[in-house]
This record gives sequence, C-alpha cells and structure tokens, in this order.
Amino acid sequence: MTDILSHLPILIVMIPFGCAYLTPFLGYLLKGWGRRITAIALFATLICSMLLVYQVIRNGPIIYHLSGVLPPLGIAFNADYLGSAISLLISGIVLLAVVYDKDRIAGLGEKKTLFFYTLVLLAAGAMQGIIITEDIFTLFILIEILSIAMYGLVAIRGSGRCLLAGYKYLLIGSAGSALILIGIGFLYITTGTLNMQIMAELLPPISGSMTVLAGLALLIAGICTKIGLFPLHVWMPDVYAYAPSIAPVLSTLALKAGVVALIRIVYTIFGPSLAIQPIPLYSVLALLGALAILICSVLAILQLDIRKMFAYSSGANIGCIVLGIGIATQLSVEGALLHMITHTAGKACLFLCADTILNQTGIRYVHEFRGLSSSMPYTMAAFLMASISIIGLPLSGGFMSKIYVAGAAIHAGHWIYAAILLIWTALTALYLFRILNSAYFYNAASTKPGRSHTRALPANEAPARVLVPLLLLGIACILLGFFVDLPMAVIRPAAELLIGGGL
Amino acid sequence: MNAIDPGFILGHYNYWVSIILIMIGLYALIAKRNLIKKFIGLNIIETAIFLFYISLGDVEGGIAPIITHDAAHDTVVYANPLPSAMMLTAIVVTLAMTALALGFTVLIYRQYGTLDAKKLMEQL
Repeated sequence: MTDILSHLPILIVMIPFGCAYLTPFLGYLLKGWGRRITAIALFATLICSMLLVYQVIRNGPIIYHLSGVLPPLGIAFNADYLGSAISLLISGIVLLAVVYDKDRIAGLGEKKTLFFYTLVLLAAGAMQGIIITEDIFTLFILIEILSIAMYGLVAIRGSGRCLLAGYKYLLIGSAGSALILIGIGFLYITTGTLNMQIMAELLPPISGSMTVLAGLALLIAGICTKIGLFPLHVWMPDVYAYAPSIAPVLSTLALKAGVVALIRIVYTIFGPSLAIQPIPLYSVLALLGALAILICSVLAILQLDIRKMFAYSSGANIGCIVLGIGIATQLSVEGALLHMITHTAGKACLFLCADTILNQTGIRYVHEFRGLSSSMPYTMAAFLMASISIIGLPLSGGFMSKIYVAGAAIHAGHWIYAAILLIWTALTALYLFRILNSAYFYNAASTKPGRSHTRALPANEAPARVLVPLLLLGIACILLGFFVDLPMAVIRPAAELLIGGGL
Repeated sequence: MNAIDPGFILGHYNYWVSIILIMIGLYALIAKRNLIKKFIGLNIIETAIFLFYISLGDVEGGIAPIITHDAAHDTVVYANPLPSAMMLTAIVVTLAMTALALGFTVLIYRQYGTLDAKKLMEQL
C-alpha cells in the first residue's frame, strides 16, 4: 500500500489520461457507460488528490522523480501545498460537473458524447499535470494538451457558432503557445536547464540580461493569453457563450491551472532574481489586474446573454487573482489563492445553473428570467447562493477572499487597488442583481405588452440528479465563508513557500 | 558583443532568420483574412521556433551525439541533442493543432460558404 501512496503525484495525472483512451472503447461496447467510466476515473483521481493533500499537510511537499531519474536529467513533479490544494479543487469540481451531466448531451450524438468525455478526461489530466510539474518544457506540453482538448470541447458540436468560437480560440491560443515556446527557449539558452528549481538558482546573477528579460516577457504574455488577462480576454465571451454542456466549467478550471503556471513562473523561477534585480514586473501585473477588473466588469454590465456576462465576470475575477499575485506580499498571495478557490466554486455553480436553465427552458438572455424562481425554485436557489459569493456579499466565500485581497492592498499601501475592489463589488452586484431581480420579483405573466417573450419550452424544475451537484456547489460557496480556515490550512504554507523562496 | 557589429550579425544569422520568419508569420496571422492563410502564418511562426531551437543545440564542430565505444570519445565534441528532442515533441503538437485547425476550416466552409475572417466574425 505504501508503494502506491508514494506514486500519488503521477497517479493524479495518469488516471485521467489512461481512462481518456479507454472511454470511447468501453463506452462503445457497454451502451451508456461512457459517463460512468469518466465519473469513476475522476472519483479515483479525487481520492488520490485527497490522499496527496493529507500527505502534504502532514509531511510537507513531495517531490516525485519520473522513472527515478534525478532532476538535472530527469523530469520532476513537485506536489507542494499550492499544487495539492488546486489539484483537489480541480478533481472535485470536474467530478461534480460530470455527475451533473447527462448520458446523452443535447445536440451531440451518442458517438460524440463519448469523445466529449474523452476530452474532459484529457483536460482534467493535463490540468493536474500543469499544477504540479517542475519541468518547464513538460509544462508547455501539458498546456498544449489542455488547450487542444479545450478547442475540441468548445467546437465539438461541429456546427454553427461554436465552430467559429472554437476557431477564434484556437488561433489566439496557438499564438499564445508559440510565445510560451520561444520564452522557454530563451530561458534554456541562458541557464542550460529546464528544471524550475535549478533555473531559479542559476538565474539571479544573470537576471539583468536582455535574453532573460525577453524570455520572461514572452512567457508572461503567452500565459496571459491562456488565462485571458485583460487585453487578451477577447476569446472568452464567444467560447463561454457557445461551448456545449459543461465545457465552460472546464474552461473556468483551465484558467485556474494557467494562473498556477503564472505563479510558478513569477515566484518559483523568477522570485529569487526579482528580489535582487528590481524590474517592475509586480507593479505591471497588479496594474493589468486592476484594469481587467474595471473594464471586464463594465463590459459584463453591457451583455444581455448571461453566459457572455459570466465570461466577462471571469475576466474580472482573473484580474483580481493577478492583482493579488502582483501585490506580492504574504497576505495578497493568500488572498489570491483563496479567491481562486471561491471563484471556481461560484462560477462553476453559475455555469451549471445556466446550462440547466438552458436545457429546461431554452433561456439565454437576462430579460427572459422573469418569474423563474417560482417555476425552478431549487435551481434559482443554487444560482442565488453562487451569485452572493461571486458578488462578495458578507458571510460568503467570495466576501472572505475579496476582503483578503483588499486588506493586503491596504496593508501594502495601495489604497487605489482596495478602492477598485470595492467598486468592482458594486459593479458585480449591478449585473447579477438584474438577473435575480427579474427572477424573484417579477411574475412571468407581468411582461409588458411590447416586450412579451415566449419561452421555447415550459419551465419545469430539473430532476433531482441534476439539482444535487448544483445545490452542493451553491452551499459550498456560502460555507467557504464560514469555514475559511479549512482551505487556509493549505494556502498559508503555500503562500509562505512562494514568498519565502522569492522575497 | 555589440548588436550592430557585422561580425555578430553574420555569426548569428540563423537566429536572425528565425526572428524574421516569426515576424512574417505574425504579419500573416494578423493581416490576412483567409482562415487558412492565418493558420499558415502560425505554422511559419512554429517552424521558425523549431529553427531557433535546433540552432541552440548546435556546437561549432560538433558531430551528431551518438556515443560509440570504439573511439576515444572524450576528444570528440557532440552537438546538444536536448533541443532537437524537445522539437520532436513540439512538431507533434503543431501537427495536431494544424490538423484540428484544418478540420475546423473544412466544417466552417461547408456551413458558411466562406473563409473570410471578417465576414465570419460578423456571424459570431
């Protein structure tokens, strides 16, 4: 048993990858088992992630050498506090999303549904790899696997606007990958290694050279394309609006994996160098984050399609996380990591609710929500709880993480960023309350004569199997605010390790 | 090591070529309106990156890194095989992406009857 437990870091990556290729075959042989096999594989991954977190909390970070070759030559996986915490988050949310999903996804045939789950598993495995790998070229390969799986997931219907959204995503994403690849090349010329820890030790004396700085700039630009930080967010609204079924949930998680890659580059590789060589990387990141918060929130208010609204809201939340990374103090990094967790729970719940509502009633736009609370009370309850957390009303998960980042900004003397976070809360409330207002305080019948909107399907409450994951996520969003010490047990040492190694 | 020094420019000509190719590819990616031409631009960028990496691995006077036991190989200079190995992986990734992109283009053309990016983005 101890033998298997020492291989946990590779198991969380390889279980989804291995099962990804089994799903189409077994699903074809056993009718209707595609989703169940996926759920079983993800459940096994979840157990491994839980064991990993337990081991990491008890014994500290685990460094795993692939095939036993030591770092200068071999590839290492480093399951530290940050990696194991986000690994648990990703396995949990993907499992819930797959449990929520149906055996036959609307608009996809039986065959395509099997490939859909293959891509889900590939994306899940790649995300797990991105957050724990210590080899920068492996990071690139895993980012590519994740991206290609995501392009496939977005365009899997193979018709209509989701194809165009997929192509747009593919062009922008591939340009980002090319930037990451050149950046890795620049760092490899100057250091002669691909291992992040060794690179971090070698970089400080030469960190002033143009080659290293160009490499850093290219890497940051490439990763920012993948996470959709403000000027590079243009692919997100279309992808989120037209992606089928649970693909937006996976995309939300893919953004978080990208943020972990950004943290690794900024703190693990360049942390020691930035302490000596003052280049204004942190202030640039903080500024971009603040701009992302303001501009994406304003754009979200202008949207009528709720999925586009959520996409811009994700852009703003990524801005908040990058702002936390950019302030670069112990408190701000803790806040950023906590916000990653609360935002993922909240946004995953909102996207699942949006998908349920679309399936049950065909509703896409804000003004069609009138009176929905009476016909779909449980779905709207989950929607309400997730909205409370995303807005950041007190006594919810989102409130705790926002107040953490804002407190860190004030502590570091950046009053302006704290003010921006406050304005952001008001803007978020503006666009989410609009939906809640028409769902809870208007009757479906009370539409004005000029603006009558007939719904495509009669509004019926979704079956219990669908509601359980929704309500679980919704309750988790609220409970995170009360039991904030639980994630903090992992986040605090993670931030200490990142900042301590760097500053 | 002045960048304007002609000896420096000539000595690093393969890096310059790859930079010029990347710029050409970036131009095609941004300015061309045909979806296939856009992706060809991206392929030019990727190929330029492969050239860049393979140039990194070259050592002056180095031979292919195949270790033979009969020769006294401590006097022989080998080229660095790692960048070439990395590029093998990257070529596979690019191939997968190209196949996916061309598949998308076929489907888009069947559906919309055009590959003009500007017209297609109006549909989105």
